[in-house]
Amino acid sequence: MTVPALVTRGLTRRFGGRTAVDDLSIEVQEGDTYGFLGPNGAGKTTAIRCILGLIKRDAGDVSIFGESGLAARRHVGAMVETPAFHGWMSGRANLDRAAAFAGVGGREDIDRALELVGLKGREEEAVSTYSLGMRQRLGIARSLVGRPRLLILDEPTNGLDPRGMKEVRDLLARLARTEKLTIFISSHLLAEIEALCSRVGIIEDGRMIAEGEVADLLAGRSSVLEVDVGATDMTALARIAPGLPGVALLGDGAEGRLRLGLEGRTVPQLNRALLEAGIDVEALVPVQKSLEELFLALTRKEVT
Amino acid sequence: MVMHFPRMVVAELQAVFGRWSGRAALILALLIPFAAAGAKIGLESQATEASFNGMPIQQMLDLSAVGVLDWSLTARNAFLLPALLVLATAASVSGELRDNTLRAVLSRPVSRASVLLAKLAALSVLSLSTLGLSFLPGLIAGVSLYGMPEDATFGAIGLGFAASWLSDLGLVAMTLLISVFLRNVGGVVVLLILYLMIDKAVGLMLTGLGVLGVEGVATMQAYLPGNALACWEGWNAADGWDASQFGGLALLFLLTLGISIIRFQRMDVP
Repeated sequence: MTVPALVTRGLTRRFGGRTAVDDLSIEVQEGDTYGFLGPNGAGKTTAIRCILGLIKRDAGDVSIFGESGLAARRHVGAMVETPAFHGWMSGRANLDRAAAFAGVGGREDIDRALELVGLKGREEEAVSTYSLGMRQRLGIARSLVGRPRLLILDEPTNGLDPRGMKEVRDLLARLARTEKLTIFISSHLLAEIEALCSRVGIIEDGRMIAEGEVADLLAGRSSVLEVDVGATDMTALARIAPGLPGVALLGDGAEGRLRLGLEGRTVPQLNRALLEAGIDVEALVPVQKSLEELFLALTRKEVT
Repeated sequence: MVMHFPRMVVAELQAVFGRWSGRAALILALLIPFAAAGAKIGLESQATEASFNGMPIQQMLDLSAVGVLDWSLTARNAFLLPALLVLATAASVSGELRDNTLRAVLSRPVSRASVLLAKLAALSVLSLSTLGLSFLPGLIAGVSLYGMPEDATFGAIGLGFAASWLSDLGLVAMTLLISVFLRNVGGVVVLLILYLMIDKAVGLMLTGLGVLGVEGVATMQAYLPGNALACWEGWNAADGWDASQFGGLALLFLLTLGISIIRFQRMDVP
């Protein structure tokens, strides 16, 4: 049995009377790209800081590839919020500095990290001349120095324009695929997490409220199957459909269709019932729930 | 101590020497001996007839290589260079905590104590460099102007420079202590100046008590941080070096560094 990449058990951190992280347990398997979600102020960054040992925890344990404390951090590369650099130093000098303090990497290792994030050729320029996107990529390169097995990234696309966000998202997907890295990524950009992650954990008020495979979480949320239905006579459809057993009219669907909810019935059964009721069905499209809908349903907070 | 400590010190040296405070300290340290030699030459030529309290100023001038080094050392240890060293120290800890550059370092597998000690080592090299930059050109200028000194004062001024390095280490350790509590470089400097002012006032109060005949006051005075930091003045003191000042300096250094390390290890990094 393989050792999990990251395990936290009962992680707790209080600031005065407020509990920022409350009995948080996370398990990330090697090779996972794990999305760590939560509304602003939910405790994501505090939890990450506890995991990295930047702030003390009041209770709980953290283990990374079966190790704890300083030894555990040998396996980790991290970027917490917007990465900070010595602006007057070159990109390479900043990576050299990080490698020197970590006691890892050499010139080749740094070259490789720069290559991976697409900054090769720009590494001798002062960081103060870098764009926000370049700094973000340099931050990821810094976390890659020393060839960590686990990458912990806190809001890695913060402040980037859509092109920059896509670049970072593509880069992370490539790292997960080609470098076989385990990635733990916190974000409030749900589409980004949905596109990148195989597993997610959702926290609110410092507590884990849902954790699992994205597909399982989306499928297991409700027993009601939602279907967008199109017909030649939409008025007749709206009149007849709610009267069918196990069918409820939920409202307007996509592309001018009606959204129906099925409880205890399948899509073919609905199709047959509508045809028998004299409705000429043009389209029957099962509605794929998004992570955003799940997130909103769970947290009942506005996504910012 | 971690195996890659020398690598950490080299990396920290790059940062310390790269900041404006480090570069300004080096430039200033280099200018000081030339200014001291220039002042000697100027006064020597201008003050041929002038006198002070009936004594010709030319007689008061120590026109020797040691005299140039004496002025260099005194000017170096006056306000500006220690202030730059304090700024360099505060920028290296408070500044990096404030701008979050320390965060990336401390999330790596490195003990916080070794990070702080690497910073101390780099700052001590900065201090040593400024002393070297004041000493060597001062010596060359002094010897070219007045010839090689032949008396024992040459060795004594050399010890004065060495003692200045110890004094700088004490100052750096004091600044480190404040820096691990404050994340504001300006705040660190202000607090240190305030402390040294209070220290001076306490020193004056103790002098007063000594005049009134209170016993043990002299010992207490010697161990005051401000007094300990002035240990370098012993090279030219009438009664020679004061061992208690060095004892006070050692105590100051170990105590402030020890507390700084404990605090740095326990603190939350933003």
